[in-house]
Parts: sequence; structure tokens; C-alpha cells
Amino acid sequence: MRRICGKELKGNGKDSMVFKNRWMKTAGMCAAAALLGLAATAQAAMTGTEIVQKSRDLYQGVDQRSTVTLELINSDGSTRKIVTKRLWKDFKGDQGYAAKTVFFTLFPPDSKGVGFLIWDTSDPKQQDKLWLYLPSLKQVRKVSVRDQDDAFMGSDLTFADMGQRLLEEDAHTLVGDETLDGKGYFIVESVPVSESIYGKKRLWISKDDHTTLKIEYYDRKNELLKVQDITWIRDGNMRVYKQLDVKNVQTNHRTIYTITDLETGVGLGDRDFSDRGLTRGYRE
Amino acid sequence: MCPGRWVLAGVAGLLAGLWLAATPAGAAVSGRLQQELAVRVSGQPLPTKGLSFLQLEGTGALGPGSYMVIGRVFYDGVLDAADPYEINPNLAPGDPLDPDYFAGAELKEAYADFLGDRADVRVGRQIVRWGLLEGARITDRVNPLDFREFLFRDVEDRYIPLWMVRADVYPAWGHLQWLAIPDLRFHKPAPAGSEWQEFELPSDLRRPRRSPRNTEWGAKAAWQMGEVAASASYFYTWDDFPAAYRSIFGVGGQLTGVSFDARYERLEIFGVTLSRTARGMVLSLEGAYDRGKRLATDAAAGVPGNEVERDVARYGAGVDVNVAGVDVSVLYIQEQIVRFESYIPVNRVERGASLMLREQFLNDRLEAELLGLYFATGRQYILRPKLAYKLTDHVKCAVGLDLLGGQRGVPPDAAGGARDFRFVGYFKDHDRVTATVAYRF
Repeated sequence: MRRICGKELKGNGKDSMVFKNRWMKTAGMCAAAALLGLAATAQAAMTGTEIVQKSRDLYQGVDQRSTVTLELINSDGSTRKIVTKRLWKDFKGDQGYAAKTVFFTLFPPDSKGVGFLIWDTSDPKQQDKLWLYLPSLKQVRKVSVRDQDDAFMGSDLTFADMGQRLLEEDAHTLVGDETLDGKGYFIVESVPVSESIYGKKRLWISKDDHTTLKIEYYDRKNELLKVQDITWIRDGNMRVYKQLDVKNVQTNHRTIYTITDLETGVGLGDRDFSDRGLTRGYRE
Repeated sequence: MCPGRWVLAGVAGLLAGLWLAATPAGAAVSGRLQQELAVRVSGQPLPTKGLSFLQLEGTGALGPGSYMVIGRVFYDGVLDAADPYEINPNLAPGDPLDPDYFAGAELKEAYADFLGDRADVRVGRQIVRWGLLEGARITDRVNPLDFREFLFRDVEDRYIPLWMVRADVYPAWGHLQWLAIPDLRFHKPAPAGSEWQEFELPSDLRRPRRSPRNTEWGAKAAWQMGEVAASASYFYTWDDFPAAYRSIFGVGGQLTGVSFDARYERLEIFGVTLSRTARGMVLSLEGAYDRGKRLATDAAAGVPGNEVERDVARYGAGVDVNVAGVDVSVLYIQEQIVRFESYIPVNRVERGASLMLREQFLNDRLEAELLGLYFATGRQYILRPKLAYKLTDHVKCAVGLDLLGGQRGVPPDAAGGARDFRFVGYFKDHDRVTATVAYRF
């Protein structure tokens, strides 16, 4: 198990790219210098789809457990806080699912114990699946897929935004690049080819490690709707969100998602992502 | 009402709170302080509820498992503001009020969980819900109901928790659940003094003793068939409504007496559910077959004991969909008596439908909700519009209307059902405005 975000790191080293000795490091630097030229050429030739694919392929660990705090800021400045425990596991296409995520609400008290379970499909013919556990009803209820366009816990991201659209559900075009704070970014436009509440999305993807710095969401009239800024936890080759700051420019509503207490490699299993896990609730 | 009773209840609640607060590290206490008001608006406005309660919920580790305890102390001060004979016109002068209705302390749930790799066990007083169609009570009949406030309380108050053992096993193909319920409790009618008093249990009602032989048993299997989630269940239970057998004594053709033997009878319930997601909708089907239901008969039919045994089929379909941001749930249910006879004084087929609309506004602080229920017999209906607003993360208030209508009918007598009984329409003059403030911690 590895703890990140100011906590101890006890990893077995498998998922961190650490060069063990100076000789290897020197040799590696020489090789890297040669490869960088090739890489730059390769990157220059990358298509929008390939760039987005790279951004999707970032290693996030085999599983994660974290605390996600949502700060919802209204246009009048009033704020509301929601604290959730998030469990996530990369299913790598097993049983047709790319990943599964479950959220358990810890705060506010009237939502305590409410659970959301999301199965992200890896099959374009299948729809994502979503379940909701309401302690007040003592029942797990399946939620319709159309509901995925609903705001996630009243925030500025939808359930669908919290999961991930399949690559082929959008047409991705490299429309330019930009240097920000001395770092280069591809600018890719993703236009939906299947049903979406958005007209398009514009993504700023790092040329260095393919992390996404910013996403602009446009409505169906192609007017700017939301701007999402992302900061990352970088640990070896692992890339995990640290904070998402999403502003709806049309309503002036804003949500800040902060990830803390991140642990990876915690050994989450199928049962954690089932109705059984939902009804059990979160347990340390 | 004896004031000492609710003082005692308060002390019991305080002690429970202290006990919970003093539990070892790892334990957590949360709870709710709630005030509920209701004013009848059919005719002259009349306060009918002034309920206050403190609920404490304690959780923590218990060896390899965990525990949950939920207790409550409550007091309804409506009698300080209104005459009980006005609140409940059916209450005859001199009829005693049920003090437990107005104040008391109650243990709601108390159970321990033991969680394994492939199986979980929950032992204690708990609520188990089967079924898919919310409120339909087709297969969802493990716990009996408390009608103290008709159908208007939340699940945690409407369902009577039972002491039981529940085991869940998770084989690769799905989920198996097994229940053993030695705690025999039955539907609880609204007591004397409640505005929702509708029918009474016979005073000489015989209840089955708690014993291994009388224990209720249930089993449910759930599995996935492609896109369809399916379940099948069996519940060997006691009918939550008693049967009232009548014996007539006569000598030489002259009637000399009538005696009633009211008792609960065994019932078997076979259930099945199916659900799937399609085109942005969740479609649900649910059916149950009750074997061994006792039904009252017309006295003139001369049926021995005045009761016949029949099977009853219940089934329903539901759709959940989001339309323009509004959550919509539509439900249709039907109940049919198998081998119906004209001397059974109820309808062979009963039909009902419900509609629920829900939408959130103002940064999710405001929630608007409308529940409509319709019963074809007697064109009875309930309409419940409600607005709930979160003042802070801890404080929520709500206002609503409970509107009831349809044919009024007459309540069943102690001997059994009445042909003109109208469960909802009977309260057609009980429309009310409600208000709730809850502080959660």
C-alpha cells in the first residue's frame, strides 16, 4: 500500500520509475537525449486521437482510495461542502469494464452513508452503469444512464464527467499548441459523435507527460460553458488528480474538488464495487 | 397522559446518549433532533401533530465485526393545543388514549455485522427490504408496518424492525440471502387518540408464541442475466393481518350465541423481480404469489368459520426516468384473488398507480417533490407536494401538503373485512399542512 499527499510512501517500487544507481542514471540520460529527438518527431506527428489516448493511458495505480472534498461555491459566494470517500479500481477491460468507482458520502450529515457506484464500460456498445444507495430507503437503486448528465452531487461536473467517455465517442482533432509557464501543451478539440450534453471540449494536454492541464466545455450552441483546471500528484510514473477547479462561466457557479488521503495498491476487490459494497458503506 | 412517562423516556434517552458517547475509540455517534408539525386544513384549522424527537445512532467495532444502535425518545405535544376528540372524531368520550403514541423511548434498530470474504451475517433488530417498486409491498414484506401516521412516515418509522438473523452469501453467480425471524410482530394500527385510527385489532386476538416452529423464514437469490437483474424469493411468514373466525351456536334451530376466534395465520409468499436499463430508463417488474391468505366472507354465505383460504397474486411494473432534469417514477400495481367467490366482500381485482416527481434547485439546497397515489376502487387518491430547503449543512426544513380524497367507505368491523372499506378515502377530511425542521449531527 502506498500513501501519498504528505503521507508515507511504502511502495514496492514496481510502479515508480526509480533508477537504482548513478551509472544507470548517466547511461539513461545519454539514451534519453537521443530518444527525446525521436520523441519530439513522433509527438509532432501525433494525431488528436493519439494525444487523448496518451492522456487516458496515464498510470493511476491498480486501485485508489482517497477522500474527495467538494467545495461548491454559488454565484453569490455562499459555499457548501461535501466530503466523500472514493474507491477506484482499474479493471483494464475485464468483464467489459474500464474502471469502477464508488463514492460514500461522509458529510453533510443528512447525506451520510449515501453511496454512488459507477461502472465505466470499455465496450462502446454498452452503456455505463450507475447505482445509488440511499440509507433512508435501505435499498440500492439502479439509476438510468440519462441521469449521468445530471450534476454529480450538485457540483459542476456531471456523473458522465466523473467517469470517462470512450475515446471513439468523440472526434479528436489537434488544433494547436501553447506554452504556459514554460511548458508545452497540445490543444485538442473533442467533438461528440455520440449523444452528449456538450457541443465540444477543448483540452490542454502536456507534451511532457500527457497530463491534462485544462479543459474547456462548450454547450451545444458552442458557447463556453465550463472551464476546468487540474493539478496533479506526480509520483514516479503515476499521475493522479490532486485538485480540480471547475467554473461554470454561464452561471458563475464553481466547484473545487480536492483529493486527500490518497492511497494506492490497497487491494480493492470486486465486492467493493458491488451492491454489497454499497450497502456495507465505507469502513476503515 | 402521564407526564412521568415522557420524563422517564427522556432519562432513558439521556442515559443511552451518555452510554453511546462513552463508547471506546473507533465508535461514532450521530443523530437527529427533529420537530414535526401538522395542521388539518379540511374545515377549521386544527393542530394534529406536534412531534419532537431526538434520535441517536451509535456505530463502532465489535470484535471482528461492527455494530449499529439506533434509539429515539419522542414527545408529541399536540394535546397541549388541541382536544383529542376533535383530532380523532372516531374517539368516543371516555375512550382511553394510548399514552405510548404521545411519548416514549424506543429502540429502533440494533444489530451486529460480521463480514467475511464471501458471506456476511447481520444479527439483531433490523429492517430488510426486498423488491424494486418503492412503496408497492409486493415482495417487500419482511417487516410489518406501523400505521401510526397512516402511510406518511419515512421507511425507518413505517417499517417495524424485527429481531432476526440475516445471512448473505456471494457465490460467483450472484447473491443468496437467508433470513430467520423468531420475532413475531404484525402490522400495528394507529392507536386510539391518533387522527389516523382506522381499524382496531380484536381484544382477544391470539398471537403465535415465539418458538422455532413459529419462526419466519425467508430466502432470496439474485443474479444477472445479461442486461437483466433478476431475483427470486420465498418467504414463509405469518400474515400481518389477522383472520377472524366466527362460530355460531344454536340449539333446536335457535341462535344462542356467536363467538369469534381471531388469530394470525401462516402465509407463503413466492416472489420474483426483474429490472433492466434501456434507453435511459430503468424498467422494473415485480410479482408475488401469496399462498394461504385468509379472507373474510359474507355471513349469509354460511362458510364455516366465516373465512376462506385463497391465493392472491400481486404484480406491478415501474419506470424510472429523468425528463428535462426532473426525476420521474411511474408505477402500476394490481392485486388479484385466485378462485374468487362473490361472497368474499372485497374486489376480485384491485388496481393502483403512483407518480413521483423530484427536482433540485438553488445549488441543490431546495428540493421539490410531488407524490401521487391512485387506487381505482373508490377513486381514492393521495397527493403529497413537498418543498425541502437546506438552511445549513446540518439544518433542513420542509413544508408540505397531504391531500386525500375518494369515496369514504366504512371501516371493517372486528369480524373481518367490509365490502365498502376504503383505506385512503376514509380520511378524505384529513387534508393537512405539514412542517418539519431537522438538525442532524
